Amino acid sequence: MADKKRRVCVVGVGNTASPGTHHPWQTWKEMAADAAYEAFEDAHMSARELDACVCAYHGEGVSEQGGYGAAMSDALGISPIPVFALSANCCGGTTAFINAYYLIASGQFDKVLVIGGDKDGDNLGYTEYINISYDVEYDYTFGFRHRDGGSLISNYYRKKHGYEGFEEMAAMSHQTHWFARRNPKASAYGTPQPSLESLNNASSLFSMMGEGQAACVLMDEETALKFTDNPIYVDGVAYSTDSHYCGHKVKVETVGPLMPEELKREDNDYFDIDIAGFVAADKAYKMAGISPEEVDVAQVYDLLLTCPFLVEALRLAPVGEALRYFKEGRFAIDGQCAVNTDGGNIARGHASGADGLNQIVENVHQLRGEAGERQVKDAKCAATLNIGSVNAQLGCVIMTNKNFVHKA
Amino acid sequence: MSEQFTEQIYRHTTASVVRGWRERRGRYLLEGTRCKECGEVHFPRRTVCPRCNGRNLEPFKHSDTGVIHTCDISYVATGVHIGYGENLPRICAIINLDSGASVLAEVTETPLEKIVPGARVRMVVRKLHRESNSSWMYGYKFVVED
Amino acid sequence: MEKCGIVSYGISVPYRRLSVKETLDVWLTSSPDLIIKSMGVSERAVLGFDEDGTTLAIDAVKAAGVKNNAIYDSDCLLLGTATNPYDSRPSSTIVSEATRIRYSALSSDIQFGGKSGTTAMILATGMVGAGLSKSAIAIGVDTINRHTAPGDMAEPYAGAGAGAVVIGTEDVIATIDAYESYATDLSDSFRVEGERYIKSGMLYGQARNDIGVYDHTVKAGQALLQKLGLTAADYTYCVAQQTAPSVARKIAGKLGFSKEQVESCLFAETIGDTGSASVMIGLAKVLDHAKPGDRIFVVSYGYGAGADAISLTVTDNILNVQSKGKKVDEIVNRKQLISYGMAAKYEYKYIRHSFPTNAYL
Repeated sequence: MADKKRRVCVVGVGNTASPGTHHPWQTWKEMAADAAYEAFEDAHMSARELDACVCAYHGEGVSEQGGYGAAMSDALGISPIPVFALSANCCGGTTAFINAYYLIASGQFDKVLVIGGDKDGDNLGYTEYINISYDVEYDYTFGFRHRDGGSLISNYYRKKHGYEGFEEMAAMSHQTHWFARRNPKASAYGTPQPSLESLNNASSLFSMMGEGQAACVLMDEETALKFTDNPIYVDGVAYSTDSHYCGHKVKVETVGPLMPEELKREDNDYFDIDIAGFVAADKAYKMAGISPEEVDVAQVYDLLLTCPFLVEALRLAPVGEALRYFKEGRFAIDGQCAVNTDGGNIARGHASGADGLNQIVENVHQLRGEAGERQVKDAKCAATLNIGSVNAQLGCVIMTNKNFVHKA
Repeated sequence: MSEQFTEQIYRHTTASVVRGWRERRGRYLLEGTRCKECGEVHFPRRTVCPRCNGRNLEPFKHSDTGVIHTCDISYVATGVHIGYGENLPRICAIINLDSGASVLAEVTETPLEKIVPGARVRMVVRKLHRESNSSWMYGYKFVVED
Repeated sequence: MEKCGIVSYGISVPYRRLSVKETLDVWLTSSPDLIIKSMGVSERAVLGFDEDGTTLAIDAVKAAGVKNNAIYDSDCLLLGTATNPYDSRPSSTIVSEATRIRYSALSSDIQFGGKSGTTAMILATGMVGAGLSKSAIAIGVDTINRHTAPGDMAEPYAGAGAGAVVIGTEDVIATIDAYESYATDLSDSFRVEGERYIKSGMLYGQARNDIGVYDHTVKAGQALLQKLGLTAADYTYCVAQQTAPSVARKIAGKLGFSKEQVESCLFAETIGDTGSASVMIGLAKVLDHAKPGDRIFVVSYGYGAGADAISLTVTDNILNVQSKGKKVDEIVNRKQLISYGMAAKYEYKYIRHSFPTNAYL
């Protein structure tokens, strides 16, 4: 349960522009410094005031860098503070954020930088490297990619919930692209908005793979109020893990006796939902004491149909309906809850370890009221739900600003 | 002579043959495990039963037959693993084996229109891509029954 | 010596085919009339990118298993091939693992000839007959297509396939009555270590066939007939080495067999040359239709390997086994036609980078 005496706040955010694009002129170290120092400036602090750092990336092979924590420490000029490195595929940024939250909530650290990102363009075989985040002996070696798992789930979800053509996917893609054109940091910013017709196909929900870093500075509330009068409160965090193997996503036997009662089904077929995602969202909501109706804006991972998938795990729509809700405009800027207001992976851009933190950065801008043309009116509560591999790593973060009124 | 066979080999790591050797019964025979405590069957083989967390597991040979649960025929060539780029479109499926486990596998040697959810399939052994140490690797794929 | 014979059989051929005409359109090495009309081959089997001799052999053994499940108790597995995927390490042990044959079985490759299938069969018979083995699987498999160079005269009809027979003493469907061999040192085709493609050692034509395939098969065949005191007329069927249907017909003719006697074993029209598998598949095709009491004459040939001739008699038990599983015709006719370009891709005949280039997507 959140310790009322030691609430954790986001004080500063920063991120590199165009994470959906290749940046051959820069090294990962340069990009990391750009994101981190933007966050320091935003927090009105100097780098040397940090107590610790948690950083995330896809893994050692992507940019051939091992001992990542130490390398980051040197790149940012923050030695000798502890820099904890972790990898959780595309959920890494969120996982790092949640780890940093625990560092501060525990009372051991006051000011922690969280930074995540990836630079896969430096490796000709980067696809190979990414896809060893799998069972490996029974899927990677058989030539399967994460994208195959995503496609299988999308095909099944659409068939089961009555989605024949690509209209709903086009609507979701179109809306996400619309937001990106209002986000100067998005890769698609400044390019023409694609028409609904041009998105009416199976390829409209592929992410823009790129390179980037995103960062934020977390502090405990007492310290935070020395740096800002508009701290963003982290009220709920939760992280779930499950098997990588796609075959396990039918019965999800891997969660054993911990299969949530309310999700149990007669036919024992859970291929169209993300059990670990539901578990993470549930825990985060409980910890925050917030219910789904109170969420004003949400950022979720989006590649193929992971977006509606995760939107349903956040209980912003009933299972099977999220895609229809997009078409009905329920997740637009003026809808019941705006979703992926920075353009998501498909239009803002996807840089693996940076994704989760780009989601946080966007929510912070929304809750501070500085999101410009894409500002959700009166946003007070924001959620993110991020995914790594095929329903293997799920991280959920619920944040509020000082205007949010918590239930008693 | 292997230079004369232009098969591309990825060498992020140069694997020891021992990895494939340990999994050979899983890859050739669909052998997984069965929990002696609670009876649950698993594929791939496990070391801990997720239902009862028991460690008392025995090898269990799954059936060679099953039904396609869902499938995907991908014409998008990007990011196809080295050694698999020769076979496009890339066909993958989740197969519900008759013995109870679900596996991720390729469907091969079948006209595309027959690869649909509900189709009955049978396991065959085929060649996988070259192992990074250049030896041949074999594993299961499925063919739709006529 | 215990009376033993075949207790089950099974075959496998690749799914994909390439028309002879497509290859000839590219290379113009022969006239369509020669290959399609005279030799009798109109399509060749193309090896899938995920197939090799080992996967074909596994499928053949499993097909035999469908006809008689007891074969999985075998304690001997002999894999005959001239086109092993490995130069040094057998494929027999991989086939054994994949077909659940016990680890204590005698599992070995019989290399390197185009008659390795029948040789494996003879050796298996010896093992069982001498009481050294209870049940022995003999496989003949070759992937001639993978080892035939683009532009080679033999390319239009270079195929692949596998045929397995299981030798035992219980529920025998065809007894193995006698065999003869005849071998000399002749490199009419060969492939030295380190080389990929099989080469012909002589100019293609009558002379090559006369001193090679026909000389050896006739000598082995005649020796067998003499040994048994029989003539071609005493047999119902003749199964001969089937580089192409015309070769099988000629061998049969030279041994005194009629066209009708050899017709039943012919399958290579849409498959091509299957090396060690050719008589195994031809024999399987005959067994699909044979009746109790029928006599079958099998004669094989391999470049540099000489010829084997085997005499079999079908028993009553054939009726139990014939109806199980798929017939050879059904398996051969399940196919997909592809283009010359695709075949070259699947058989890895293009020169490429050792490492693929990728797009950043």
